[in-house]
Amino acid sequence: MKIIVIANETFPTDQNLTLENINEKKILNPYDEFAIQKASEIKNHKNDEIIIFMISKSDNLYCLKTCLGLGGTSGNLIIFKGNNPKDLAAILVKEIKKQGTFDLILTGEQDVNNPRGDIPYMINSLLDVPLISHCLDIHYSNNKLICKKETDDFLEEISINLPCIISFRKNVYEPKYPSINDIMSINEKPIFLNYYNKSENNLYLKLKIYNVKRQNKIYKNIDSDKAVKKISTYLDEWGLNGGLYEYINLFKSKK
Amino acid sequence: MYSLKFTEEQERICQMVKDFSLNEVAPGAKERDINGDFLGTRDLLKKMGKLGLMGIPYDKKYGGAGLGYLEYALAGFELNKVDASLGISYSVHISLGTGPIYNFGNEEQKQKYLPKLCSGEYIAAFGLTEPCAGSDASASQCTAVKKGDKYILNGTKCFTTNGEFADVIVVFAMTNPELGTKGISAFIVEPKNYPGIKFIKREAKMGIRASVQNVIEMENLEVPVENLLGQEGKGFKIAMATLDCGRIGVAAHAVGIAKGAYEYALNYSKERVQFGKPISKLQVIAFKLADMYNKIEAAEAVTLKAAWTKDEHAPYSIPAAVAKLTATNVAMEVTTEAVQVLGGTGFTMDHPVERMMRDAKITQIYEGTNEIQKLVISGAILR
Repeated sequence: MKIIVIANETFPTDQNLTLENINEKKILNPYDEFAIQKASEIKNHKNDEIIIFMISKSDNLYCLKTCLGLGGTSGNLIIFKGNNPKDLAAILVKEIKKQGTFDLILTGEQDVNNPRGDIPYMINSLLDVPLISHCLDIHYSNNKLICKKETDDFLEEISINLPCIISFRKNVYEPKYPSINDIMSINEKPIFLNYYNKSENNLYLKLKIYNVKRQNKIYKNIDSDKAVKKISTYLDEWGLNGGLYEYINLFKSKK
Repeated sequence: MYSLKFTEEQERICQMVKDFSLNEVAPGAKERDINGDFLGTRDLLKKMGKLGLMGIPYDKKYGGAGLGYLEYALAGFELNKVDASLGISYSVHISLGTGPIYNFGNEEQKQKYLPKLCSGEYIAAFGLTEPCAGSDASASQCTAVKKGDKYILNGTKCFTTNGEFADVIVVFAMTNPELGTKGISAFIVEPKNYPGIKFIKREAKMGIRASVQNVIEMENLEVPVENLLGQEGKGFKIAMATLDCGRIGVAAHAVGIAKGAYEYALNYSKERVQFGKPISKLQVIAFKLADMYNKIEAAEAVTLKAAWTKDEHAPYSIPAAVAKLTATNVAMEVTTEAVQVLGGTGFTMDHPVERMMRDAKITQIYEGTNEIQKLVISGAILR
């Protein structure tokens, strides 16, 4: 299995930052750290890969190596000084495509210090691979990925075939620590550096944005089987069914 | 070449132990101390085993991390900042319990015990001290008589850290009392598997209350001949060499306690306001903090030097004695001053400095009292 994890570094909240140490004192974004933990849990075999992608403004490898210590098998540091989410998404897609086929892309939904914008959705659109966002947890069984997802009123479990993209809304609550062996093996893992220039115009892969108003439909007194079929037809109609998935547990819970 | 700059791996190990200490160890440290919860300490040791910390200085082929005493000392600094009870249990396991098997065991003994000790599956202890044999280890009265394919051990050991939950205890006993120190032999005892061993007392102590020190009674304890460590009569040398290693761990233990107390006092002094300003702005407190910092820097330096010397396979008895003597005295001084900085509230259990001060005292006593260290150092310099 080839799992890609998109990770970012961020500023620590418990340290005194100065102009001198601001580039050195970065830590791994906890939402992405959770993604790496999940990738490590899903990784079944020794030959499975967890490929880390990180975009940074500097070539400091500390955070990328932290990812390798937490389970990554190889790392790609992309040095790019821009901030535009479209640029970032385009670069990531370009680099991911160099990897060939993949099974899963995991990432955090946001950085601690600033929202990540629509990057996961842009990657979903550019790669044409289904995305499940707002995920709290995943596990893999019988060649399917089961995702626990949070929405405004619902906690639901969704089963999805691979390949797909998962973005996590959860950061690390119970940290996993790299063992001594993990730490000592970091320097044995390959790391690749790629530099991107802001002025390169071919970064843009155009996104089509549909400005549509979808008709809402309300069904009353309908059982869950029929409801699932209706929803599936509706999603097919509007091109929202990006992959084969089925609701296996649908329940309401008030937060 | 002695370098004062840590490698990236060493920094990462420090960070990992620091994160583990803050998240897993610190939250229950006060309660474990109040309740004498040594089983909680044992559970933390098991967790540390999964991180590879229980075999840091031992060879990879035996399941260790393949690192050295420098990394062990660095881990000790971070761990002892938050819980000295866990620190001492850890130090005894690594240096006193596992060390003799690693350094003096035959290949069968190493293959049998070291992988489990390095993974944390087994916890080790050290049974040298007796009620009548403390600093004078040669006054041992425990006996070991060979009968067929077993040694029969009789006698009492005290202050055996980790004793009650240890899977392996390295025990010293007289195989030939007429020869004095040359008649002492070392044995690997499995207390859970060998009948004839009883834990008759848990010491009620002033400090390190979340670690257990037992009085052990051996009554016709049968130990297989293959569990003789080294050769008959070499036990005293094994004990002394082991204590030399252990002193580096004790020094790291003491430096960690001192650092924890200093950092707490420093942060407190920045918040506590008296006479209209934080007490850190008062020169008398600022100078106390400066003295504490100064002493810790010196203690840390000699400890790292001793660890480095051992890793370089150079004679390290004197540097280890210097480190133990210096660091333990500093720990006592710094923790006492930390309580002083916090004032009346530092004397209460609301703050951890009183626990650190109680914990620091034992470091001046165990694994060779500071008076013995002075004996060792003066013996070397006046040779």
